[in-house]
Amino acid sequence: MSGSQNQYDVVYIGQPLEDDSLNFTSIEPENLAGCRGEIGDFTLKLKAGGEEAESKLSTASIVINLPYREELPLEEADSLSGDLSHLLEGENEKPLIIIQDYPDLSPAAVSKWGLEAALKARENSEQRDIYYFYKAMRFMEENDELYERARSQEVIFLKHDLGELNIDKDGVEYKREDIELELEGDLVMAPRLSPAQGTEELAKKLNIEQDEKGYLQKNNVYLQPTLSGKRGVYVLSGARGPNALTYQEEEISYTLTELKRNLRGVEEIDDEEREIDDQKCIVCYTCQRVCPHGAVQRDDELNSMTIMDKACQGCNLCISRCPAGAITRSGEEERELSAGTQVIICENSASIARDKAENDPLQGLEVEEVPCVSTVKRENIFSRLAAGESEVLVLGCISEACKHLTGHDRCEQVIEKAKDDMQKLDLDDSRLQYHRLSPRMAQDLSTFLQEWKGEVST
Amino acid sequence: MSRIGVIGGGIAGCTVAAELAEAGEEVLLLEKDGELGGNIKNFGCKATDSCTKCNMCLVDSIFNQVSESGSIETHFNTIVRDCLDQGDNYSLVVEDDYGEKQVQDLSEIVVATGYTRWSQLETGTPEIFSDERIVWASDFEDMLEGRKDQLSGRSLEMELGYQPDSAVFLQCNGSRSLQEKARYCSRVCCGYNYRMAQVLRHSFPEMDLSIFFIDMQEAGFLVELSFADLEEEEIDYYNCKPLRIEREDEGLILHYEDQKQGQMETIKTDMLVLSEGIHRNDENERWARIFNLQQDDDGFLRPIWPEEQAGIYLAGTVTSPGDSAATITQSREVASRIINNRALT
Repeated sequence: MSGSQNQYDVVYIGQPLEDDSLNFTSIEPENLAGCRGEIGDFTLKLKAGGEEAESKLSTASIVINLPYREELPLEEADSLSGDLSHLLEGENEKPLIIIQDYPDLSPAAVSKWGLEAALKARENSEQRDIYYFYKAMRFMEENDELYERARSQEVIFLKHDLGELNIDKDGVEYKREDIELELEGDLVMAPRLSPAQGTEELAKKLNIEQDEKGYLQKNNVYLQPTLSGKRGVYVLSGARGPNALTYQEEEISYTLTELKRNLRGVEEIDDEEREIDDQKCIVCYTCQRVCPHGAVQRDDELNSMTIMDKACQGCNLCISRCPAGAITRSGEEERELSAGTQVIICENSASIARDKAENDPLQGLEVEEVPCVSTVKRENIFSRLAAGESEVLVLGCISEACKHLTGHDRCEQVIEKAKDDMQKLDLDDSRLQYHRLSPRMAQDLSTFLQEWKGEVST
Repeated sequence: MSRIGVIGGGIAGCTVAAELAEAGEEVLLLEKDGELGGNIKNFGCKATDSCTKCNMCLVDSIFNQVSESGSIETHFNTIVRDCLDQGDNYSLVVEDDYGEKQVQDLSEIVVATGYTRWSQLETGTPEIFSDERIVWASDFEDMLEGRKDQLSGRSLEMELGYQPDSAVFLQCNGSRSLQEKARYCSRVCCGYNYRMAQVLRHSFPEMDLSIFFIDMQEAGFLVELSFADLEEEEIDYYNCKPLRIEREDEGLILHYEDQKQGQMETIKTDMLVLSEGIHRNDENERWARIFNLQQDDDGFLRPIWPEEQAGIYLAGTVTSPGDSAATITQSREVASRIINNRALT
C-alpha cells in the first residue's frame, strides 16, 4: 500500500514487547529509510523491498529492541544463551562443563542462565559431574537461591582466576595449588556480547548519538534506564548498553509504562516559544547538528529549519549557535550588563548547590542562570569582561552528568577559544574561569567562591 | 478534591510525588523527618574529573522538583499511625508536633518508607564502632557531601583526624550471610565502593587501595564494572572475605586466605571502609499491619491484593534492595501505573 499512513501507538525496531493494550507493529532495522517528526507524531519511512513499495508509518513512540551480537570464545562450545536441551536432558553421563567470565566478566543474566542449566542437568542426572568455572557469580532475581541450590546439589564451583584454566576443543584443563583437573565433556560457554547489528545506521537515520562502544544510549545519568537523547525513542537490550540483560525486567516495565503515558499526550518542557524565522534561516543545518535532543528538522515547504516543540528540551543551544541569528525565544530579555564580577551558572547544578548552601555564596555577584552553560558565546564573554571591567566565572555540570548530554564539553571549547583570544589580545586570561560541579557540592561552591571573591577583590 | 498520599520523603517517595504532580495530580507527601531526603540525603557526589554515575545529581533534581511543585503539599515531622478504609478512599491517622489528627480523602496511597542501614541494626562486632580507622561506607558517603576539592582542584579532605596512605574496602557486610539475616546480595555495595575508590584514586594517585569481595557485581544501568577496570585504576582486589582483623598502632592488619597460593596472608591498612547492604525497614512489620501487606522471607514488603485493586502502592527499597537509579526507575513506573489507572476509571 504505497503512500498510505498507518497509525501506531508504537513501532518496534526489532523484537516487540509483550503488551496487548498497545497498537504496534515491528520492523527490521535494515528496512528503515528515515525518520521525521517528534514524540507523539513520528513518521518512519520504510525502504522498498521485494514486492513492497516504499511506505510510511506514523507512531507516537519508537522502541529499539535488538539482540546483542554474540561471539563464543571457542567455536566448538555451545552457547549459554542458546537452546541447551540436547545437552541437559536424558541420561547423559558426560561431564557438563559450564564456563562464564571468560575472559571478561559476564553480566548477571549469564550467571542466571548458567545456574539454570546446571540445575536442569542435575535434575535429569544424579550421577553426572557438573563443573562451573567462573570469576564472579553475579546476582539478579533469584540467582542467590539458584546458586545455593546448585551448591547443595553438588555442582562443583571453581573460580578460574584463582588458578589456571586452559580450554580447547578437546577439553578443559584446570590447575590450582590444591587441584588438578583434566576434563572432557559437554562444554557450554558464555558468549561475548557486543552492540546489536545495525546500530550505527540506526543512529544516523533516527538522529540519535551512539556511546563510545557503539550502543545507542549515551553514558549519561539522565537517560536511565532506556531513554535515548531523543524524546519518545527508547533503546533496550543489545541496542542500549553492555549490561542491559541484567536489567531486562526494569527496561521492559519502565518502557511500557512510558509508552502508555505518551499516548495521553505529552507536555512541552517549558512555556517558552522557540522559533526559527524562515526568512532569516540559511538552512546550514548547524542547529540540527548541535541539538542534543534531535529536536530540529528541515521543513521542505518553507525551505527553513524548524524546532519541534515537544522534542525540544529547552537548552537554547541552537539559539546561541545559529550563524544567521534566525532563532528567537519568547522569554528572552535584553540583559543590561552591569559592572562587577559576572557569573553564569547552570540551573541543573550550581543553581541547586547555591540554594542548598547556608548563606548565598553568590551574593554580591552579577549572576545569570541558564538552562545549560553550553549557550555561552565568545562575543558575550568579551562584552561581559568589558562591561564588568572585571572577571567572568562560568559554572557548569560534571562531564557526563549534563542534562543536555554534551553541554559541558561545548562550553569548555568556547572557554578555551575565548582564553586563546584573550592571550592574543594580551589580556590576563585568568579573568575568565570555567569550573564544573554537581548539585551536591554546596560546601565546595561556598568555599571556592569565598576564596575566589577574596582573590578577585585584591 | 481527592489527593494521592505518599508516605516517605526519600528518593522513592519524592520521585512518585514529582511524577504525579507533573501529570496534574494533587499529592500529599508525609515525611517523618524535618526535611526531604531520607537515607540518601547526605550522600556525596562521587565525580572524579568526570561523572562516575552515582546519580546524586539526578536525585537532587527530583528533590528540587518536589520543593518547587505547587501541587505537592509536604508535611514534615509527621508519623503515620493508621490507615482507615473509607470505601472508595482512605484516611490516614497521623501524628505531628501538635498531636494526632486525620487526613482524609486520599484516593491512593504510596508506601515509600525505604530501608534501614545495616549499621543501624544493632548487629556486627563491637570493635567496629570504637576504632576511628574503621568507617561505614555511609559515613564515607556523608563525608563526601562536604567535599571541597572539585572546584578548587585541591585534594580531598577527609574528616578522619589523620591522612590515610592506604584504604581497604570490605564488601558483603550485612549481605550474603545467614547470621546477618540477609541471604541475598544487596547489589549496591560493589558499585558505591568502586566509586568511592575512584574518588580516592583521583585525589591521591599514590594511595594504596584494595577491595575485598566474594563476587564482584555490576554497578547499575550504566557502569560495566570489571576486574580490568580495577586494574586500570590500580585498585587491588581480593576474591575473598578477610578472616580476622587485628588493630595495631601502626595500622589495621587483615588476615585472609590466598586461595591461589593456598596459604594465609596479611595486608596492612590505615583505613577500612565497611560496605552496608540494604536491609528491610525495621518498621516493615508495622507497615504490613497498617496497610494489609505481607513481608517476604527477607522482611521486605509485598502486596497481598493487587496494587491497582487496593489502591495501595509500594515504591523503592521498601520492596527490595536497589540502587538510586533503580529506585528512581521503579518509582517512576509506580507513578505511571497510578496515572494510567486513574485515566482508565
